[in-house]
Amino acid sequence: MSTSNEASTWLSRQWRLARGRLRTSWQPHQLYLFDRAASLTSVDAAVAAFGQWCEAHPGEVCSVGLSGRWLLSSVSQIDVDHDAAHGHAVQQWSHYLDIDEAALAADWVLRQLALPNVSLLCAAPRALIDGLREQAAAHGVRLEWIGPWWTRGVQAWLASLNDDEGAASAQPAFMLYEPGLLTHARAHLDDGRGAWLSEVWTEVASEAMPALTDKGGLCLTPPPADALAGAPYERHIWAHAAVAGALQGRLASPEVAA
Amino acid sequence: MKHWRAQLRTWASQNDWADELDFAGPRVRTASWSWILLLAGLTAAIWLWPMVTQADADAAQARLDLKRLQRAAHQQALAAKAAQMAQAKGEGKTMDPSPEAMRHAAQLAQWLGYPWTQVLDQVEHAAQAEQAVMLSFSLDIGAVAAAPDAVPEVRLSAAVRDDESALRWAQTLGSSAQLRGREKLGTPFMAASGQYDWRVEAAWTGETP
Repeated sequence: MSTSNEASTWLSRQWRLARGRLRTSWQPHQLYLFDRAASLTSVDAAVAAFGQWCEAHPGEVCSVGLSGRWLLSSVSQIDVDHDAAHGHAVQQWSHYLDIDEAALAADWVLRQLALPNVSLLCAAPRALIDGLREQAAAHGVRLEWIGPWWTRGVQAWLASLNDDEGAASAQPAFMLYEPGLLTHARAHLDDGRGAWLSEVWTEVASEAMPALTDKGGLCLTPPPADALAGAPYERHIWAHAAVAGALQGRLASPEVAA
Repeated sequence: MKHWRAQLRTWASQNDWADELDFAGPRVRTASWSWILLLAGLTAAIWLWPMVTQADADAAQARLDLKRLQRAAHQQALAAKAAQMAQAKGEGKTMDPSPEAMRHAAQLAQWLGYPWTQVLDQVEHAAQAEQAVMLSFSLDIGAVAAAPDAVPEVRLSAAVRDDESALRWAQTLGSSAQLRGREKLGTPFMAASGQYDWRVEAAWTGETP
């Protein structure tokens, strides 16, 4: 009798997993993960919230855009060589955040993106990445992607600069606002080489959404009341349409795009 | 137009940044040409499948035809041989048997000509008359076939109660019967007709074919 119940439970779970996977394989959930109160390495609340989200969405597929609160970013213009860029980033983070190379190797997951003329390095706490992976694995959720929430937004902005023949500034900038944080991206326009990323940095911002000027930018606005399900994880995870647009690099509207 | 071109460009290069900055990765993405190759392979397979099944059916049919033709050829060969033999018979020709076949046929005729029934009847009759228990019967069939008038020797052994019974048994077999030996039975036994202690051997020329 108990074997029959176990089989029934197992079948039911497998069915839920398969249904979730089928439903979201083509169009994964776009999640923005944040924690306004967290420090750079405080990840437990966010991991727990992601676990709750996974429990509510078994088997589904999601991409997770991480808040700038947990991210280290560095653009190296000195040398795009892998080791040199890595050394430059370590030097920066060690100077400003007191994170040395040993701590970086032990506690952070590093990714490097080679771009024309520069190299972009980003790091996220290993505890956060491992925690998200564990929670996803525990609930059969497939993590399609985890990365800085502004990745595709900045990429789309740079692409738009290349297409904009009459750019007003030689060093256009782009602002990416999320609650409490503002990430700046600056580009350099060369006649011969087009637009290339020159700087990325994040600073604490006020809770009020900034008025985006002609510099352009992306805003992660809070979900409307009717988009909230009242789940506890919504204090750390947003998944409404504006988040999906921002994570997929769709510049919000013509008036906010550069 | 410009907008679409920008969108296309954005879309085409979108995965580069995300793939490189993927903390869940690195992820191996299937290249577009791989999908094209797969699609081409599937298309070719779908296109070729009816041809393959048709070729398979044709091959099966060809195998059946071949078998049928082989059977027909064999039957024709047999018919030709039969016709040849019939023709040979019609022309009065006979097959000349080999000397070996002739000798074998003669030997077989000798074996079949030996009066097995009479000899065995006589042996049985003599044994019943003197209450002898037959122990062995041997006849050299090589001697039967050696010559048309050969008289093969039959060797018999039987268990008897005493010497008198042994003599009478030999006499009952016929005038050519001779007692060749007598010895104590290894395991004497008791029967309704008495105690059997002796084993006797006799040689008898039996009957001529």
